[in-house]
Amino acid sequence: MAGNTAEATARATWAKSVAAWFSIAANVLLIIFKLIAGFLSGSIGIISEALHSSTDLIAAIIALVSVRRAARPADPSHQFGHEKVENISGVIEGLLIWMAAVVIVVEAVRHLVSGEHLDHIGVAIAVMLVSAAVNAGLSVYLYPVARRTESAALKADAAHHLTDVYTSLGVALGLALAQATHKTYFDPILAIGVALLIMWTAWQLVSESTRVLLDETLPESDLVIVRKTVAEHRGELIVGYHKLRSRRAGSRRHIDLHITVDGALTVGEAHAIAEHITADIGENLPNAEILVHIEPAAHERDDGS
Amino acid sequence: MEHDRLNHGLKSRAAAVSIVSNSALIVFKLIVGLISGSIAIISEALHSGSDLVAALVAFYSVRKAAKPADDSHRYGHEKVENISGVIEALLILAAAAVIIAEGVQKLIDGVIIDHVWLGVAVMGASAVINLFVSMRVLYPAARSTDSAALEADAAHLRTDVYTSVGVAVGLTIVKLTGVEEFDPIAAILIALLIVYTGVTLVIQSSRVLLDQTLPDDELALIRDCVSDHRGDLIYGYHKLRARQAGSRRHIDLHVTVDAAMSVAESHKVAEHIMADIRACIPNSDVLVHIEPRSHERVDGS
Repeated sequence: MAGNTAEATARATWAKSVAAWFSIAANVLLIIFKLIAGFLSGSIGIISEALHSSTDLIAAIIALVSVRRAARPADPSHQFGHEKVENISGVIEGLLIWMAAVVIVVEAVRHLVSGEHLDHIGVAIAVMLVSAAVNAGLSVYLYPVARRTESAALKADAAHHLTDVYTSLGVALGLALAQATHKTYFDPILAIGVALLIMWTAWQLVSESTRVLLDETLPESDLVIVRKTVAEHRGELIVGYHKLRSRRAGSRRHIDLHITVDGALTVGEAHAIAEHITADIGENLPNAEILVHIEPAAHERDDGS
Repeated sequence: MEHDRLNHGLKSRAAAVSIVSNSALIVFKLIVGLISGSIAIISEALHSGSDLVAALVAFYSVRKAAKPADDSHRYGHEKVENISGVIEALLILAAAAVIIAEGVQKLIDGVIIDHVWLGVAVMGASAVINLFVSMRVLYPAARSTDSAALEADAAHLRTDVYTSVGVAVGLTIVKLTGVEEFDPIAAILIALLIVYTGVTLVIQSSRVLLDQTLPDDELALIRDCVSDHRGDLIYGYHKLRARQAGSRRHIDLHVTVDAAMSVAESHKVAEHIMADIRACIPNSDVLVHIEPRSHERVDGS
C-alpha cells in the first residue's frame, strides 16, 4: 500500500518534470526563432517579442523548480511536506502574467498617443502565428498533465501559455486589420483587449492559489467522499465523528477529524478502528494525509460539525 | 479568549494609526506641492498614496485574520496576515523599481531640481512621522501580538524613512556641491537597500505559507511538555508536526500508551498533554493521535 503510493508519487513527479522540461524547451526554441526572424527582418517589434518569450522561459523554469521541490518528502523543517511550493509558484506565475498585461497596455496606449509606424507586417504576422501555434500546443499538452497530477504549478504554466496564445493572435489580427484598412490604431486597441482578457486569467490563477495558501477547506465533492467513508462505520465500529477539518497543499490533501468510540474499548482496539478508517479514506481519496483523534463516546456529537 | 480580543483591538488600532498618518502625509505633501508648484513634492504625495494602500491592506488583513474558523476555513483565517506580508513586500519592491527607473532616467536626462530646502523640509517631516509610527506604534504592536501583517507594514514604513532621509541628504549635497547627479545616485542606493528589505519580507512570509515548522525554541518547549509525561502516563511520542498561520500555531503528534488502556483513560491523557502544550505555547491548536504501544518509537521523529 505504502509502496504503491510512493511509486504513484514518483510517477506523477516524473510526468510533471517531463511536462515542465517540454515547456522550457519550447520557449527556448521560440526565443531563438524570434531572434533570428527579428534580426533578419530588422523589426524591433519581433525582437521585443523574443524578450516576451524570455519571461515565459522564466515562468517555465519556476514551474520546473517548484514541481521538483514539491516532490521532496517531509523533512524536519517542513513536517507537512513541500507541496505548497506549487501554490506559491501559481501566485508568482499569476503576477508575471499580470505584469505582462500591464506592459502590453502601457505600450499600446503609448502607440495610440504617439501614432505608430508599422514595419514588416507580413513577417510579424507569421512569427505571431507560429508562436500562437507552439503555445497552443503546449497548453493543450500541459492542461491534462496538470489535471491528472493535480499540479498547481503546471496548471499555472498552462494558463500562462494560453494567455500567450491570446496575445499572439490578438497582435496578428491587429496587424492584419491595420494592413487591410490602413488604420494603425487597430493594433493597439486589440492589444488592450487582449491585455484585459489576460488580466482576468491572471486574477483567477492568483485567487485559486491564494485560497490554497489560506488553508481553504477541500471542495464539497471531496468532503462528501470523506463523510460517506466515515459514516459507513457508524453504529458498527464508531459512535460518530466531528471536527472534520481539511486543507490542500499542492496535490496533497491534509485531513483531520475526531472519532467517538465506546469509552470501554482498549486503545489497541480503538487504534485498529482508526487505522481502518484512515486506510478507507486513503483508498477513496488519492494523496490524502489523515490524522484521527479518538474520543470516548461521552463526547459524542455525530453531526460531523 | 479575552486575550485574543485584547490583541485584536491592539492590532486594529495600530493599523488604523498607520492609515491616519499616511492620509495626513498625503494631504500635507499635496498642499506644500501645490503651493510651491514642485512636481517632485506632488509626486511624493503619490508615494504616500501607495503607503496608504499598504496600510489599508494591513488593516483589512488583521481584521480578517481575527475571524474564527468557519465551514470553508476550518483551520482559521490567520494566514491572511502572511499573504498580506507578501503583498506588502511586493509593493515595497515595486516602489524600489520605480525609484531605480526614475533615478536612471535622471542620470541620463539630467536633473531639474527646484525648491531644494522646501523639499528637504518635507522629506524630513515625512521621515520623522514614518519613523515614529513604524518604531513606536507598529513594531511594538507587531511583536506583542505576533502579527505578520503589522510587522510588514512597519517594515514598509521603515523603508520610507530610508527613502525620505536619502532624498533629503541627496538634495542637501546637491545644494552644497552643485553636482546634481548626487540626487539620483542617492535615490538608486536607497532603492537597493529597499530591495533587500522587500526580498527578506517575501522570504519570511513565504516560509509560513509553505508550512515551515516552528522555531527550535518553541519545538523544544513542546518536546519538554510531552516528555514530562513519559514513563508515568505515556511510553513515548513521534511524528510531531508543527506549523504557523499568522499568530496561531498548529501542532499535531502521535502519542503511544499501553494498548490495554481504555479509550476513556487514554483520552484523558491526550487532553492533559494537549492542555499542557496549549499552556506552554500561546495561541496553539493541538491534536493528539493515540497509538498502542506496539507502534512505539520514543525519539520523537
